[in-house]
Order: sequence, then structure tokens, then C-alpha cells
Amino acid sequence: MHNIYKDQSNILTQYDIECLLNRFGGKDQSYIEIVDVQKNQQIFAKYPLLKEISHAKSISTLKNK
Amino acid sequence: MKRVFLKGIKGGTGSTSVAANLACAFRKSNEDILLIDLDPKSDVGLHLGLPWQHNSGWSNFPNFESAIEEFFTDNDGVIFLPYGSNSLGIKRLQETIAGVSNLKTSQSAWVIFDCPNYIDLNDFSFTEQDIVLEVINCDAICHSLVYKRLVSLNQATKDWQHYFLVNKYNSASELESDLLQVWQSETPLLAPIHINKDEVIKESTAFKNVAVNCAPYSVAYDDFETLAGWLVSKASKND
Repeated sequence: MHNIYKDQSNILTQYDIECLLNRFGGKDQSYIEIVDVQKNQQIFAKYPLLKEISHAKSISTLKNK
Repeated sequence: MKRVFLKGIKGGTGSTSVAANLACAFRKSNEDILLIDLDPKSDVGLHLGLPWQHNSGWSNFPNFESAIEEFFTDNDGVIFLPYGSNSLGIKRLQETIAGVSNLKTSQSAWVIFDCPNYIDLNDFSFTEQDIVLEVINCDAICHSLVYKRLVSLNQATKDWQHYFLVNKYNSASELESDLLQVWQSETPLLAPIHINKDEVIKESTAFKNVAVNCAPYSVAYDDFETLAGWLVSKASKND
């Protein structure tokens, strides 16, 4: 039987963090930072000034690359 | 001597209130503390019980050495130096910072400088141990200024430890919680703690005092204690 236990919580358990570390972390990394990019983009879309700043920032980041 | 420089990223962010309350939080933990007012508004003393009519300070003296008699001690033992009533240039600010730094104090003493928001940090000689807390509020103008500051900090040869400190955070405001969410996840140099908006701060100033003496169990005082603890941990890493 599959999916006997499904984690519905928004809070990450230590096990979740270790799984994320194994997947995305390197050998030397003892922590990972989880950023809700989608939520941030929704916030930027909500406010014109924030959207403008975010847009300008992403252009200057691209130019610096 | 551990030096902390507090300045608002713009006017009205509440950096003087933060400076006075933080000084008192340090003092309650038995730390030696000096609070130096570098802002021509000269209102640090109002938070610490100085009479409103007292309008002299270090700026009224020809040099820092002759202004020593202007130091006061409040009821909690915070030693502070009011700015006074003369408007002075950057050179005198630099001399006062140097004068305070040369005072004979214990090595573990803290000095908090309450700086005006318009100063250019590059005009001062900071060390790697110095901590600059730039006070911001959760509003769109601060959001814009933070990103501009990050660009200028990237371009400057920065020696000091720079952090943005959110003050007067109102969790009931949708815009403020949105901005804090963005800053916490995307903005480098954001201090991991913020000071919540609390009526106690305004009330305690009206009573010529700081939050801990008016409401020792307030959210605000809790925040200042946490901020002091965080600064101690930063300073111990420097040692």
C-alpha cells in the first residue's frame, strides 16, 4: 500500500531537512536556505513599485553575469 | 570597547528610540554602556530623563576634551553625551567619535553612537569590529532605499559589519508582512531580529523614560533584549 503517511504540515521536520540537504546540499554545506520564490513573485506582482524594483534588479543581475 | 553605530536609512525610522532602549537593555544585563548623540536633533537625553530645557552638549564646546563635563548618567547607569545646540560639520563628528574611542573604559564596554540619517558612512573610519545598524521600517520607500544601499555597499570598500534592522514592525499590516517576507528571504544583511511596533515606546518617551522601566514585560522590551543578545554574540565572534 502506498502513501500510508502523507505529510500535510507546512513545517519541515528534521527528516525533511536532511532529505533536502542530501538532494541539494554539498559536502561542505551544513545548512540550506529555503526561499518561497513563487510567494515572493506574487508579492512583487501585487505592488507596482516592488515589481519595478525587482525587474530592475533582475536586469542588473543579468548584466553583471 | 565595542562600537555600534545606529542610523536611520531615512528620517523618522525611530533610530534614537532604538539607541536609548538598546542602551538600557545592555545596562540591565550589567554591561558598561556609553550612548553618544551625534544627531543635531539632540533628543537622546529626552529618553533618559534629561530636562527638556537642557540644550547644551558636546557641540557647544570647542573640542571633545572640553566637553567631558557634558556626560550624564541616567537612573539605570547608562552614561550618555547629548549633542547640544550647535550645528557642526563632519570633521567635528569624526573628532568626537575618535575622542570617545580613546576614552579609558573597560574592554568589554559598549558604545552606541546615535547618528543622523544623512551621514555618508564612507566619511568615517570604521574597523572590522564595528557594527553599523541601519534602521528601516517596513514600507515601500525603505524597500527602495535598501536596494540602493546594497548597490552602494557592493561598490564601496566596506570595512564594517553592516546590518539592516527592521523597526516598528506591524504584523497586522498586509504590506508590512509582505515586505518582511521578501526581505527575510531575499535581502542580504538583514538582521535576524526585528523590533515590533509597540505603543510602549511612544508612551515611555512621554514619561521621559525607556520601555523597560515603563513596561518591563512588553513585546518591545523583549525585542531590545533579544537585539542586545544578538549583538553580544556578534561581538564574541569578533573576539
